[in-house]
Amino acid sequence: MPGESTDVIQGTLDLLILKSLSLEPMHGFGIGRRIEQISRGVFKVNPGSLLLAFRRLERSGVLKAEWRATENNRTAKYYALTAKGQKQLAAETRNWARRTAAIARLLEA
Amino acid sequence: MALLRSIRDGLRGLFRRRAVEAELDDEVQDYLAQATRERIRGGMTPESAARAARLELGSVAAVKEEARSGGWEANLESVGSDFRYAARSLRKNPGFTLVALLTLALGIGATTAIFSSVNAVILRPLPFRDADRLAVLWTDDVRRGLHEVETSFPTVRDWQAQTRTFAELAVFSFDNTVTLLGGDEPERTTSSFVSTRLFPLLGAEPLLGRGITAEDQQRREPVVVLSYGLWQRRFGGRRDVVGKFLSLDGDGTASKGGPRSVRVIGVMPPEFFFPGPGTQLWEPVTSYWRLQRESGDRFFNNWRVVGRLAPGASFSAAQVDMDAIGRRLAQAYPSPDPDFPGFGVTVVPLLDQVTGKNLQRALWVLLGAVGLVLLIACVNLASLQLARGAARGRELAVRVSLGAGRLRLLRQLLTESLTLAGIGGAAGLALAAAVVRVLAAAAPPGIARIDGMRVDGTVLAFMAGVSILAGILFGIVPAWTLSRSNPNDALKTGGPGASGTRRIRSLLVVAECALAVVLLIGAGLLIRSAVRLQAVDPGFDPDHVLLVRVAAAAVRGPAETVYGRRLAALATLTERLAGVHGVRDVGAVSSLLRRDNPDQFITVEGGAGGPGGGGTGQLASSSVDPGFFSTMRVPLRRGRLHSQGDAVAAVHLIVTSEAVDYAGPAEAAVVNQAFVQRFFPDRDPIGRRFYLGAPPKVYWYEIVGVVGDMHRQGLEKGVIPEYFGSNLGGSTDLVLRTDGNPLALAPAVRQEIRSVDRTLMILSVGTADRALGALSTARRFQTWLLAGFAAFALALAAVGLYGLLHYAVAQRTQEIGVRIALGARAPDVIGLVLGEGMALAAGGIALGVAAALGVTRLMAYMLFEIGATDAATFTAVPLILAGVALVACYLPARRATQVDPLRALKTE
Repeated sequence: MPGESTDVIQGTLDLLILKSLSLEPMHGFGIGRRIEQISRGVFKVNPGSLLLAFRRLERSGVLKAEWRATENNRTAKYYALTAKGQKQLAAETRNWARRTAAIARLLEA
Repeated sequence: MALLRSIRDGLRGLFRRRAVEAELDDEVQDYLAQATRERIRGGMTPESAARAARLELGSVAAVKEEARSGGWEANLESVGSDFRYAARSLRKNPGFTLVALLTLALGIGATTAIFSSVNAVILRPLPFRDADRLAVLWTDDVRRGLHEVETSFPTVRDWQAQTRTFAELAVFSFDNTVTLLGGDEPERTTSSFVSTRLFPLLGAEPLLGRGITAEDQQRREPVVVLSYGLWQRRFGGRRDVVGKFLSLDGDGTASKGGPRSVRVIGVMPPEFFFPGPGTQLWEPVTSYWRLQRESGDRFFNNWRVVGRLAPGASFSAAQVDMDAIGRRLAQAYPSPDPDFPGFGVTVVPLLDQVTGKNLQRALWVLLGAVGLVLLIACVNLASLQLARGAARGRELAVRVSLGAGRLRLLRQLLTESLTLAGIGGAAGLALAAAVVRVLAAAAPPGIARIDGMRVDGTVLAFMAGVSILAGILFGIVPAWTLSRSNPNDALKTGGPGASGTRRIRSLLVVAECALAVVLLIGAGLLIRSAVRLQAVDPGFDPDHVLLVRVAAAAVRGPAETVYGRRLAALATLTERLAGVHGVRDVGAVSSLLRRDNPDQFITVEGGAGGPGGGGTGQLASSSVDPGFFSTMRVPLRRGRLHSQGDAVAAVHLIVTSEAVDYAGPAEAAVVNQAFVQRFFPDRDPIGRRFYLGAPPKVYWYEIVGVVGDMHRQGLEKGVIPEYFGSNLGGSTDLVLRTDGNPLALAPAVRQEIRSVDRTLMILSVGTADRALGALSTARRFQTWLLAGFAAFALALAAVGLYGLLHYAVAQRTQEIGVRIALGARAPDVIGLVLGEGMALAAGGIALGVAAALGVTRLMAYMLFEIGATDAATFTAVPLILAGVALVACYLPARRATQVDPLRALKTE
């Protein structure tokens, strides 16, 4: 095993979803897979939590959803970032960088 | 924006449920399909790919449940479904549900009923503006130990001028008996003389017309304000009563001036009462006939004072302020006279004055007691829930394994108990409403404001609060325990953590027994007090005595003629009544019983104690006719009783008393034994003299006889020194000893009185027995209520104990079977079960006794002749509880002996 998979760090799921969607609109399964792949299997997102997060983000106006045909001609719910979502992604990314830098300094000290 | 969206989506979730559900389903299915396809692309067969995908996703229902749980509507929805589920589950167990509802309805109903009395008497504000800022001010006669005495005009004026803690003071007289003339027949009622500032100070606006103003006072015009009750009753609520003239007369004693014509200027609203609930008329102080004479003399302390605290001042600050003023006045006006009341001041918050501290405490004690009962009921229900939970183990375990979270389960179980509590509370409210109606109607006299008891918003809120609290209270322990149990164990053995719930149930039973012991001890102490009270010899024989209160109509003429005629009329009347068939003896007394605390000051010639040979404390005086003591069977201890001649002489003496000098003649007096013990502990009292008033104007009495002591203030009050004169006037109690039922003679007696003297008003007819009993109605009321609560608590504790052991025996059937198979005999098995039960009961008793030792001190003042740690009660109650516990344990124990070892072992 290349490494144990763990749950997503508390509070970062939103950031991961926003980041995944910043490139292109995706459907739920795709987002989950992307998080798993890019983190090289370190983060494994439970589908229930994922769907729950979508609903929450959609309600707060960060995501918008629409039903689209997939490559196999099925309809699937695609999620995309709204303008507000873009802003939130930028803000949370800065915030994350600040926090990790602080933690890194603490660990080095 | 986000909020709007959230509301919109939530509402859509609630009302377009199917569409939303379908979308969610689509999304999950899509997820599954993609996961499967991905695996097929990776080379798996379609079947194994589908399986792997499903494994990855987990339970579809659980995923959907989790996704749904995000919105607010999900909470609302699941509460709804929890309630539906709860209702179903309760319907499935009608036995449990019925018992639980009954217990809750009784518990909540009783608590709510008692609370509504607390609400009516204590919590609901008095019908005055900012009533919690009002206080009554009394003179405190430190030197003679007389408390709450009235104050003189000059002193009140000084208070008003010097106080910094009271914004305003107003004077009023206490109930002054007047006769309302005109109309069909004269009516006896009470009026109060009030200063012009009284109504504005209380913040009371008349319903009709106006209040008493400074102009009325200046013009000295005789005006009057009517109570709502009198207006309705006597004047049919006619609005044109304002401006009409009424004719008022005194109470029939000639001393209060003649009949006077007064003009009605206003009517007060229905809720207004002041100073007493019986006050029907208010007149300006300037209508008081002795105002001129009293307004400049500090000796005439006839006035009561009510004050409104200045902004920011507290009652204790006011007391300090008034103490300082009192000291200044004492320095400014030193009086060597031992009869002068002095300048001490007591400030009493108006609410305490109206309801009395003791009554307030008694009501809180009752509320506490009924709260304990409810607590026991809750504990019992918790225990029942646990027992039921054991049986429901499988159901709960299935729910857990289907993905119900612990919190979800907890909520589900709590919803169930809250549903129960809600229904129970509603039933309890209906019960309370009925009880309140009965209590308010049959309110014992002497409990101020209890007739205003009703179910209002405060009571409703209280009931709702109590129900919810009860629901949580009896739901939380079972819900916590059951939701924690491991579904694996539950599914395997069919009972979740059986030993765990039994341990908790045992603790609950101990708590129940302890609470029941506390209540039983409280009730026991009151019952013992009541028994002691029953054993008190009243000093007279109230059995078979008809008590008729009559009042002579006011008669005009010179005082001597009026008194003399009235005395003669009374003698004729008693003689005629003695002739009524069935009447054995007849006597008359100014008042057989008394509710007030008499404070009278006398000076005894050569007597013991007190300055100048005087004595005081509580001293009562009454007037009696020659037949009174023999009719009431009060023994004559020494000397002789009054004769009719004494009475005639007394009338003459009273009429001329203004002129009596220090060495003047004396009225013949009979005294009681307490009087003799107080003033002549070691001397013969016959022929001794004492006087009222201060030299040179005094009124003399000479002791001619000594009679036994009578408890005329009710059995619980001690006997006080008394003396009896013989001038009967105004209102009089006629006592008639009868052969049979005294009330059966009432019509004949009424008729006889009418035929002798048409002008005589019959105020009330009853029996001496009832009248004496009425003095302790409040106590009886308390005792019975508390005893009822305690009995209920005992029953609940017994049921709890029984239920637990019953369950324990069922659980240990196999173990008991093995024991029997190995040779244990019935007594051994019984001992085993009894041992477990009685150990719990013993624990409860020990805890309860310890708690009671702390709690009963609160009710010490309610006890009569026994201490709050009365040994008999503290011994008897544990024995009673142990006895009941033994019975409750014995039934399951006997069942245990009937266990068939073969059957028990086979079920293994």
